[in-house]
Formats: sequence, C-alpha cells, structure tokens
Amino acid sequence: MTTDQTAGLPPSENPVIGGPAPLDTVAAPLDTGTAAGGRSNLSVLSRAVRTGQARLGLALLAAVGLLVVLGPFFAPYAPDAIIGQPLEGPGGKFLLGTDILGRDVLSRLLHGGLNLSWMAILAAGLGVFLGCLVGLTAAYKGGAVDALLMRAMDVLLSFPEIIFVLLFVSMLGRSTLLTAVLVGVAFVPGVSRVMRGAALPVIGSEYVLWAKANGLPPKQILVREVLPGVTSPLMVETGMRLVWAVSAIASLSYLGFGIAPPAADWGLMVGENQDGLSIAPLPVLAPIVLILMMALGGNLVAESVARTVGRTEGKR
Amino acid sequence: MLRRPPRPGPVVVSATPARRPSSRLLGIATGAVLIAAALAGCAPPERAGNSGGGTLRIAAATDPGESLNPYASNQSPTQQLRSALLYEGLTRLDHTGRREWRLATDMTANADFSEWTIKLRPGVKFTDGSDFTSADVVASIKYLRDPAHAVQGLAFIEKIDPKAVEAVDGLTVRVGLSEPFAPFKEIWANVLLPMTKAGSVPEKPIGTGPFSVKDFAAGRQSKLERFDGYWGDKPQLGGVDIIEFPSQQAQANALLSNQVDIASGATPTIAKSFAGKNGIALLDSKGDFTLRIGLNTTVAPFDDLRVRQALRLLIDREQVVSNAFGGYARVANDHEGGTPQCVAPDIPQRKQDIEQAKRLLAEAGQSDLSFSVTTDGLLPGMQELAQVFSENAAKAGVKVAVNVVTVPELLSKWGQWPVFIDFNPIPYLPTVIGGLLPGRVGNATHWDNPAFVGLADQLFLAPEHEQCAIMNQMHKIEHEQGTTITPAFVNVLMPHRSNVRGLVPDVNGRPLSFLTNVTVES
Repeated sequence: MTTDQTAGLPPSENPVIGGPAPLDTVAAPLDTGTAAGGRSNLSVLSRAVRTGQARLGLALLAAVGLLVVLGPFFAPYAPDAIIGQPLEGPGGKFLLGTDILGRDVLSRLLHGGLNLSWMAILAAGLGVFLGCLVGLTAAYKGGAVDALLMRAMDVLLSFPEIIFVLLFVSMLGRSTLLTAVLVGVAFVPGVSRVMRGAALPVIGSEYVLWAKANGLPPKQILVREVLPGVTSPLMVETGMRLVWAVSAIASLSYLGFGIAPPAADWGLMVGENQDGLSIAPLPVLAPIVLILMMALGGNLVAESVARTVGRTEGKR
Repeated sequence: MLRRPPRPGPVVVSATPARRPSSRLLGIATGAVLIAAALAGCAPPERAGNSGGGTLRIAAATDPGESLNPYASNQSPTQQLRSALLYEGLTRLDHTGRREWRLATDMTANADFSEWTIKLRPGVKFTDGSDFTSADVVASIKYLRDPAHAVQGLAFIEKIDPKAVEAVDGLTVRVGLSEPFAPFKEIWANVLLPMTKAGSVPEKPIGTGPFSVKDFAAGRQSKLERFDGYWGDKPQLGGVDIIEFPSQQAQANALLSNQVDIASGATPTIAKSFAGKNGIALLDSKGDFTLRIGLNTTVAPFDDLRVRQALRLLIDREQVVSNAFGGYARVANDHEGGTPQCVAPDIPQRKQDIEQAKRLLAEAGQSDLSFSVTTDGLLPGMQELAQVFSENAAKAGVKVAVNVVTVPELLSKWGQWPVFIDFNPIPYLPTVIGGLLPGRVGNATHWDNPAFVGLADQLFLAPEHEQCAIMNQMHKIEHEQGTTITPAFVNVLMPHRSNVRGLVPDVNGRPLSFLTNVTVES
C-alpha cells in the first residue's frame, strides 16, 4: 500500500502549502501506507535519533527534563520563601544568589520548569490534535467545507500568536490552563494547513478510494487510512510546535500574562528580575539558559527527524 | 482608594505618585508602545539651552491619551507633571508639604465657614500677556464645579455652590458653600484645581505658570519654554522637554545614554543599579506616598474586624520595606500620612505577630482562610508587596494567591475586588474627602465607620489649630478599625545626571514641580 502520492500533483497541492515550518521534509513525497507506514515512521524516528544533532538535542532535553522532574526534591528552600536581601550575589548560603525579592534563585530554578513543561506539552498536543482534525477534515471533505475551514484558519492566522493569546487573557483573566489552551489554539491554523497539504495526496490514493467505496465511515477512514500516511509531517510538526510552545509560554510569563506570581517559573523569573540585570545577572540569565536548552533541544530533535524524513522520503 | 474609572486609550506605567492613568489594554498595546518608544528613543532630543540655565530633559511615562487640558477627567502622572509647570492654583504645597499662597494671598471665612472671600495676588499675568483677575477665578471655579465637565478634581470642591461664586472686585472673589467647610484653604493646593484664563479651556488653555507650551505632541514629547512675564521667582532654566517612554527601564536607558537629564520614574532596583555610576545621582523624595492592601468590607470575611486585624498582624513591615521596596521606604502603621504640619499620632507601631493573628482568625472561624489579592502592578512595588504579603500570610496558614490583572480590568471592577492593592499619593484631607468617607468613588473597601465620619464632620468645621488633633484621632480609628493594610510609606525615586543642580526632594513625591533653582550645566 505504500505509494508516492505526490507524484504528478499540481504545485498547489504540494504538502508544504502554507506550512509555517520551513522544513524540507514536509515537501518530500510521503510514505502513505498504513501498517507499513507506521513501521516506516518508527524506522525514520530511530534513524533520526542516531544523528549527532539529535543526540545533542536529546541530551539537552534529558538534562532539562531531569531538572524539572527531580529538581524540586533538591531545592534548598521553598521557591517562594523570602530568605535573604534582594539581589544578593552567589555565595555559600545561596549558590546562585537571591532574586529581586530576596528568594533563593537556585530553588526557584529547580521548581520553575514544571509549569512551563506541562503547559508546553499541552499546548503543542492540543494544537497538533486540533490542527490535524481541521486539516484532515478539510482535505477529506473538500469543496465548500474545505474552503470554509481554510478561510477560517486564514483569519486566525492573521493574528500573531502572542497577540491572540493576550487578547483572550485580557478578557477572560489569567490561568495556566487557559494560557496553555490558548497557545494550543493559536497553533491550529498553521498545523491544519500543513496537515491538509500532507493529507490531500493520501486521500486521493487507491486504498482510501477503496475504503470509501466499501462504505467505511469517514471517521474510520481518516483515523485508520489517512492519518498513518501523514505521520512523518505530523512528527515534525509536533516537535516544532513543542519548541514554539516553550518559547510562547515563556514569553507570556515574561510579559506578565502567563503564570501568576509568586509561583516559580523560568519566564516569570526573567521578567521579574530584569531591572536588576546589571547588579545580579544570574536571576535573569539562569532561567534563560534553561529555556534555551529546552527550546534548542527540541529544535535539534525535530530538525533531525525532518532531515531524515526528507532524505529518505519517509521510507525505510 | 483614589482611582477613577478609566479614560479610553492606552496608558503607561509610572513610578510617579500621582493619580491613576487612564485605561490601557496593556498587552495589546505593548507592541505599539514599544515601537513608538523605539522611534522616540532613536530621535535624539534637541539640547536647546536657550538661556544660562539650559534645558532640562525629563523622561516621563508615555500617555498617548494626554492633552493640555488641566481639568481633564483622568490625568496620567505625565499630564500632571506638565500641568504643574504650566498652570497654578490658588495655593500649593511646598516641597516640605506646607501650604503656601500662590494666586491667592488670603482666604477668610464668615463666622460659620459657609462663605469664603479670596483675595487674589496683584500683578499676575497669563502667558498670553493678559492680566489675571477675579473673573478668571470665577470662570475656573464654575468650570471645575460643573459636573458636565467631569473634571478630576470635582470631589474636592463639591461643597462649593456654583451659583454663589462671584467677583467682588478685580482681585476679590466670594465663594458660597452648600454647607460649612473649615479647611477650605487646604483643598486648593492641588494640581487638579488650577486657575486658567476665562474661556480658554479646554481648546487652548492659558495659565499663569513659570513655563508656556512651545510644542506638544501627545504621547511623545512636550517642549516648554520659560515664561519671562512670570510673577514669581523666574526659573533659571530656559526650557523643559518632557520626553515620553513606555517603561521605567526605557527611561533608565535614556538617562544612561544621555538622551534625558532625569528619569521621572524608577523602581528601587533600577535606582540601585545606578549606584556608583559616574555622572548619575539619585533624587530620593521621602514622603507619605502609600501602597496599601484594601480589604473590601462588603465581602465576607473582610467585614469582620478580627479578620482584618489578623491580616494586619501577619505582614512583616520591615521585610516589606527591605525586600519589596529595596529599602526606599519607611514602615507605616495602618493609617494614612500626608499631614507633615501635624505631630505624628501617638499610636504604638503594629508589628508582625503570627500567634495573635492565628488566635484572631480562630475566633472568627477563619483558620483556613484563603483568598486572592488583586493588583495591576501599575506602580513599582505593587506586585512585590502582594508577594511578600502572600509569603507572610502563609506562616499562619492563610493562603494568599496573587492575581495580576490588567489596568482596565482592575478599574472595571473597582469596588468589587475582595482584596486589592491600591496607592495614595495625596495629603490627608483630600484623602478623607475622596477615599475614606462612605459612598466616595475612592472608597473601594466601602468602609463606613460612624466614629470616623463624625470626626470628619468635626474636621470640616474645626478652626485650623484644632485640625491636627482631630486628624490624629482619625488616624487612630484607621489603625484600630480600618480596612487597609498600610505597611509602608514609599519613596519616590528619580535618577538624574549629576550636572542637573538645584533639585529638591518633595514630600508629596512631585519634585519636578519645583524647578525654580534648577540648572543644567553643560
């Protein structure tokens, strides 16, 4: 059932149309077989993680992951405890000094990644899920449904993600769950365009036509026949969205629209302590380094997958 | 307590202790404001120096909704800063907080304080060269008193009967009141109650101040030049440029890069970061400016005095001063200040007492108390105060979440927030009139204390020499039964280039209103 579905398609139906991620992989012909496709994607994934770039990315992600999960157990103080003078330098009592309110920077760092992590995962997951739903539905239904959904996505796409989130946070109030959901929703237009483009050739394939002819319900066709054929771009999209979610949520916290104080959060730490940058740089630089590690790690892994998919055309 | 509903349009953040700026959709406006600031920052301001004193370049908070109208309904600190240099009132507070005569030279009351006669200063000219007369005062008071104009200072003069304001002669005005009011002289010392040329407001307001407008671009820059016909001590400066920036960090950067001579707003951390830097000094105005935590008495359990007193016992005032305000503050005692002419009230200083607080909460059945304190973080120290309070309260098992909202959201639910952070920059008498008596817009805690109201009524009828004693009794009631946690009096910080000479700190936090002896050395 593995076929090169993009061959012979007009340029407008190339899967890269409108995709926000400038990834060469998505443009590549796709492995669209169902069972074979799944195996193939696993193989692509395992081949991708063998690259040096992916290993570096995984190492960075593992380091940050360990810090996020185990960090709170090693924090010397409660993250919101005021235990010293503001902006004390690093020393014996405070390994990384104190922040603008006199809290231990190390303790806040060790506690500060959890919210960012789950929010980023939820946002990326939601964005990819909804994006897939919209993109695949548009591709499958075609016609007016396709036009309507895609124009709606175009409207959403015209809002920069941060502005979109700020608009709703201003109206609905601030909560971590809401912020994560909004970031996820803001990703939907981009994901849906990529997934629609990737799904169009799959939907035109013989086995999908066969499924349709046999009267299988659309939901079953989309989930069991189409989705396995677009897992390569889906993997790349998921990785990229995860990175962007980290960046967006950290930015929102920095701007004061993400996680509420006095919670420890890396983005919030940057915003809170920026006035004291020239006196005590660590309360600002340390969380930036961790955010960078998280984003860079994710980026390296996603790009490796993308390159591998592109190089192998998604095949084993 | 002294906030007002918002004016449409974006606004800004400032450390200047002044009235609430107008509404702003902070998040959405951020990008636009940053771009505007970047453009403003890229254009180096002119260094005019058209006299021996030079031109003082002041960095102020961006206010795109500002105007030259000194009676506008919701003025930002930037607009008030400019108004203080362009317009004058009948009296003003000097930099030590004492009242001094300006456009008036005397005010006398009849026997029951229901009618006042104001003698005006002779020889005063408007900046257009015309004479200042009683007709201008009558017109200004009537404009201020007209509710249709919704001026920001209306609450302070609402006892004036507009029909009973008349010119007796060219330099005398008689003002009739709807009810007796003894501290009449005090209310005029307010930047919101200036005198302008009759008929000139709001299109092209003309004042009598030491400076006149040379150029004005709302939200960007104001250029003022010295008015050589000024009746008082003429400023040595040839001009003042007020250049607007979107944040205090941007103001600090402009100061460092020599684009401005003084930053009108700075957080304690920014002020500290300038320490030891060559060519930069700090103007530190220690006054009675308060940031306080309001407890809404219409929301349980804050209607219970035991709960309010327990929360007041939880806060560590020393820690608030050292950690929330970086040491640029002094401990307060749960009552307002603003009466430098009076001896401080003899009230024992309240200190953190966790055990007593726990007992009071247990008595009130609120041992597991949990609530949110709401702040918009408009002024430096607001979010920090909320966080320190949250950390202090946790020691007694009280869970306090910090709810940071936008400025428009805070103002849209004004008077509904159960617990909120507010500020008060003005002296005690207008604070009482505008924010501590029941039913006033500024009274967002809905405090209604009969004993306090009774004393306020006494104050409004008391001769000058009795007013301090009454105000101190009022402070005692605030301390024992009030609805705000007032942990600190906060300094106003203005870093400036050290070639700016003659600046004086002001107890009311507006040192840039006193520029007579200021010079900028080249």
